[in-house]
Amino acid sequence: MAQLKRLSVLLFLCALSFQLFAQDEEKKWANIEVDAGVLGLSSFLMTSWSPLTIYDPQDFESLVSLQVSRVKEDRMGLWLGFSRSSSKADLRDEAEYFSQRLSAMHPNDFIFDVNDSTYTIKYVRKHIHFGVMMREKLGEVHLNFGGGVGAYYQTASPGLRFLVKEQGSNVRSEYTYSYGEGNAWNWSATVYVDADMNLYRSGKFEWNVFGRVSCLGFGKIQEIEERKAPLHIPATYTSIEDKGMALRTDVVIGLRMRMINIERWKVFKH
Amino acid sequence: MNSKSLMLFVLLFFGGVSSCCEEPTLIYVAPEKLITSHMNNEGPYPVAAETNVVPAKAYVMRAWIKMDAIRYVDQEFKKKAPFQIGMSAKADGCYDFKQINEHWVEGWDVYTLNDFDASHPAGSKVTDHFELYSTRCIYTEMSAGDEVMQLALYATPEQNEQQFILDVYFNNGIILRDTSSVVWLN
Repeated sequence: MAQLKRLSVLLFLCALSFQLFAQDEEKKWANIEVDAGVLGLSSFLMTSWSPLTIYDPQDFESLVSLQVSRVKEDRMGLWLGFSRSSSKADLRDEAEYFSQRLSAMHPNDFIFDVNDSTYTIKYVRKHIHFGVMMREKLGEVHLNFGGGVGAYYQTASPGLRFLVKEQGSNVRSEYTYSYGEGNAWNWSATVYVDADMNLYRSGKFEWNVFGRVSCLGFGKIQEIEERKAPLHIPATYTSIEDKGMALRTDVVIGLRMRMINIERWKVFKH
Repeated sequence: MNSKSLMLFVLLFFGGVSSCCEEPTLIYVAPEKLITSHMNNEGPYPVAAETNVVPAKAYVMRAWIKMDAIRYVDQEFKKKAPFQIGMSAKADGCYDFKQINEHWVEGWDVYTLNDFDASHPAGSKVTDHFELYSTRCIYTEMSAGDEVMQLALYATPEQNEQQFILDVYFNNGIILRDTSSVVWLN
């Protein structure tokens, strides 16, 4: 998936180059825009194809995003975005699931749930994605519609922890379940709609405030690691497959710097 | 509000806050005594053994580290409350005294007074057959009150009758030792 990230950037740069070479024929406006989302919220919407409920709807958490767009009148534009989001999930259902799993594995033993009472797991995801977009003008407001693909990397902590004590002996084993820690890159797809409005204009530069709502679909973490660590024997690992897909929504408000009619700038003239 | 009255207000506020509580007397405690006993861990938790017969695979040695609370107390305070331990909170939320513990366990060793197995004759160290069972990490933090270590046995002796010596080493050079009573490990 690391290659997917590089490929994504390469594809975007190629597409941008083609647009720049083709701009001699462009008589209409074409802007380069850089926007940064400073007030962002991110939350899960739903999950599917998963035996666990790890992606249940969750509370909104923080999101920061950065996006570069090339926008043309009456034509498709391009965008490249980076975002970092965090969210929390409640692991009560998962704790019940793994508790039952351990009970089946150790029917005569004692199982202790050693997580704290919050059962909360915190995820941090980094997305890199790119795609196409269209702009509609509604008076002073620009409405932008975009869609694209990309990749994301997730880390999560902490996981669930159980202690299993054998009946009749001192032998104890610790089972831990890690969600996405050290996870590889995975695919993601994005659609968004945003609106911006001009705050201030100085020559070729225009400052705007924007608000964006995105919906992200992404591949679920491939597996959950079950780690068994007895006191005297090296720990053993078992992977529990938990494939699926999840949807997330992001809401972000930020500032957008628009460089107007970029194709008429000397630096872009041939 | 002019600057003088503001200054007066600030002085009165901080004066009031600072005079709220007197500095509590500090009592520096130290490990004083080690008392071992036998536990049976067949169930979910180790419990005090009812007899001196315990299954070997469920044997846990309990080590009670008793703290000396009055060793470093100033004499005037000792007269007032010679045997109290812990923090004493008054009705106004202030403390008369506070206990401070600057000791922690750095290690421990178990010796057997009987033949344990072929490689562990009487008088030899059997530390490698025991593991710290307590969940609380006494190596990095110890409270100012008494502490309990639980040492679980992970071997079956060839001779049932066993008696152990436990040494506990503390960071400041203090070594506490206790000899357990005889236990029959089936």
